[in-house]
Amino acid sequence: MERLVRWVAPIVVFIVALLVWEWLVIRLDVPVWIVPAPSRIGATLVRDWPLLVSALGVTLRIALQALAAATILGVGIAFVFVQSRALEASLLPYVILLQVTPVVAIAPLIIIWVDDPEAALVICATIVALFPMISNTTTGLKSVDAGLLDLFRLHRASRWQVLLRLRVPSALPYFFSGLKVSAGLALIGAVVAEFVAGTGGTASGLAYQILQAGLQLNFPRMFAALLLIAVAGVSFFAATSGLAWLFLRRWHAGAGSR
Amino acid sequence: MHAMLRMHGVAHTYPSGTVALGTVDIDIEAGEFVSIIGPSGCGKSTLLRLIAGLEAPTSGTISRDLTRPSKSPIAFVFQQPTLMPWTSVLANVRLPLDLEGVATRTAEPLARRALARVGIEDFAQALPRELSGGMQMRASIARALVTEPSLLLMDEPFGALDEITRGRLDRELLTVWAEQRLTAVFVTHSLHEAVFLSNRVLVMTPRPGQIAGVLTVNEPHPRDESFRLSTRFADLCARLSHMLVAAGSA
Repeated sequence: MERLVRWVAPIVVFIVALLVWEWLVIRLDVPVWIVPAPSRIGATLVRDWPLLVSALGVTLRIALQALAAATILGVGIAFVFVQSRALEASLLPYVILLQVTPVVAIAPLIIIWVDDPEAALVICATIVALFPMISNTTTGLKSVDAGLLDLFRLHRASRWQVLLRLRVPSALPYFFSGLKVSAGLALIGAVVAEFVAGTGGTASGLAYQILQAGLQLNFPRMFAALLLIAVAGVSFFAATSGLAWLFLRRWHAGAGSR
Repeated sequence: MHAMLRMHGVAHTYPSGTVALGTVDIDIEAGEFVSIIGPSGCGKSTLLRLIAGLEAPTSGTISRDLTRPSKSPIAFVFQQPTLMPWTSVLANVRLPLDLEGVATRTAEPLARRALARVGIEDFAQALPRELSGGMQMRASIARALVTEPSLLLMDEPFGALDEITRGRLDRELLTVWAEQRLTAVFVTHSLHEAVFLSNRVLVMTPRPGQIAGVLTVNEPHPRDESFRLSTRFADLCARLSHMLVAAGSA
């Protein structure tokens, strides 16, 4: 019953909101170039489907590549950090620098430096998505039960054994909560970078469609593209949450909740 | 009888300057069951960690003559069960053997035997969180026994358990100790537990802890509940209590 509510309630809210929106637009006679009615957006979604879907494909491809890169790099850097305090101390400021620099500010440079436009966008989105992976995985690898660490030392475990048998499993819950955040950020990064790149980018992603539709005052298409980005974001979150649940449900208390 | 462990002039001070343990001299003979009792913060746990080699003494010498040639001659049971939550009870108990590089084929039956010895063989595939506190502690003891250590160190292992479970585990521990001819060092807060289990009880002073006195318990093993109910037991507890008061510990 409770699970049913968790699924059904948001859908009901969505439908009610759409109906109210539709009614308000008709009732107040809102012009389409201010707020298009949901029915109009829906019609556009159907009519422009081939165009929008290929744009969605491009944005998803960039976001997924960025997420993969951020995961590999983030985990790699976290492993380096826990092996040596000196290395962590010398590199951490630069990782933070990367995190606090707005991607909008560095994207133009990256787009100039990197010839392949898609690669440039992937790099931008990776920068946005990287920090939570590094930060969470590092915390996780360090969050080891002191007693278990003593036990491993007592039995003369090698550094490698401590890493694989103790640190990695202890880090999994932290890794997955980092992954959930990074997945959303990778998508945001992909969209933002594409906005900055404009026609200098791949000229085919969803952000580009929004830009173009805006210039042409094609607001229904703009809203349709926006909707697809939102759906993609929610799907990323659902997918990473599901992955976390698969790995952690048996032993970790936090796995069942979001 | 030979001394399995000799600690001479051993003291431990943390880098911050806090004295964790005053100077102590302790000899423990093979096959003995020695309890250490004293107030919180007196350095009992530090003493145990020094014996285990998890800390190095800042002064003094520790020599161990561990009879059985084994890769892990010392086993440690912590205050908490300290089990890996992500894997089965069996895999937890097998861990010391895994770390030693023993093949799973060989290690698995040994781990099952250790589980059977503490009476939880039916829970081999369960996850630690599916077990009660007492059963988790049994798993922890099974893990300590799996390498057939010479020296078993225990740091208030049953402190978090209820009285009934604690009493039962005390008896079971004595059985295992006798069967395996272990040498045991047992840190506790409970003077009843100390008297029930031990050949000798070392009484420590408050921080920085030193040995204030030794109570010898000349009661033959095996011991059972009739010992716990005897006047000898009550007398010994009273004497231990006086010693704790005299040491400024109670």
